[in-house]
Amino acid sequence: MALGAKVVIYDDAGEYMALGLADLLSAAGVTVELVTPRLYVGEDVAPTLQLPDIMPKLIAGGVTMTAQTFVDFVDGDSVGLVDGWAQTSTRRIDRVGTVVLSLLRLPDDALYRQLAPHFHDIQRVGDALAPRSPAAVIYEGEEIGRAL
Amino acid sequence: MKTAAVAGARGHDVVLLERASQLGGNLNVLRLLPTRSEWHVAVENLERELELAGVDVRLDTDFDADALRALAPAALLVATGSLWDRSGYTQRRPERPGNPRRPAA
Repeated sequence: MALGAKVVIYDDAGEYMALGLADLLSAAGVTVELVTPRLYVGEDVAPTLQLPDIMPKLIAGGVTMTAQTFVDFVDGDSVGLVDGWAQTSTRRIDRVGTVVLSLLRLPDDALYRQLAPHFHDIQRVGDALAPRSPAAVIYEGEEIGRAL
Repeated sequence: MKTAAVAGARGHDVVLLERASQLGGNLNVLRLLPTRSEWHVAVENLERELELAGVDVRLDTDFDADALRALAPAALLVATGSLWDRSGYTQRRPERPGNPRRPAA
């Protein structure tokens, strides 16, 4: 696989994406390490009752899950972890093919900035304004549609 | 998509320009994950709403300021989505050394 035999997913989004990717990769035979600074893996997935579905699959796929932990550095093919509370070094993962960052999303508003000087009534909407959940974006979409 | 459908249903003339060959944006990535294919229902629902509202949907459409001006829109909404941050920054650890956006203090 192009990503390598071992993949580290560093997740602070807390949503389904990181878990789903870990599932996809481990099923394809990749060794997956899921690291999160949050209290537990899939924190925002728990309230939607999806953990009983996804967690057994991750465990069966041999995914190593480490919570309350930061990635301190990526050096060549090594990834250093530190404890989320004490900030002390805990572990080093070697021979990593790919590190996947599932942290923040930034608005992709380059087009808006390019167009803004040319139009009087122009606005950014959705993730291009502020990245959020699909539900929040669709709610905003309804609101703006009514306001036009 | 939602804004276009609501505005169209309320009687506005709406043109939806999509650079990609399909609507849905971010939802099309989520639906590629195992067992998540039903996310396509969300996109299909919105597509049906657009159809019912009579929105003029144009896929595979690239455009610039001149092309948009030719449409003479009363209002222009830009929904270009988001990109994953690659800096490694997390707000739970803003003091991380090497963070290009760490606070000066």
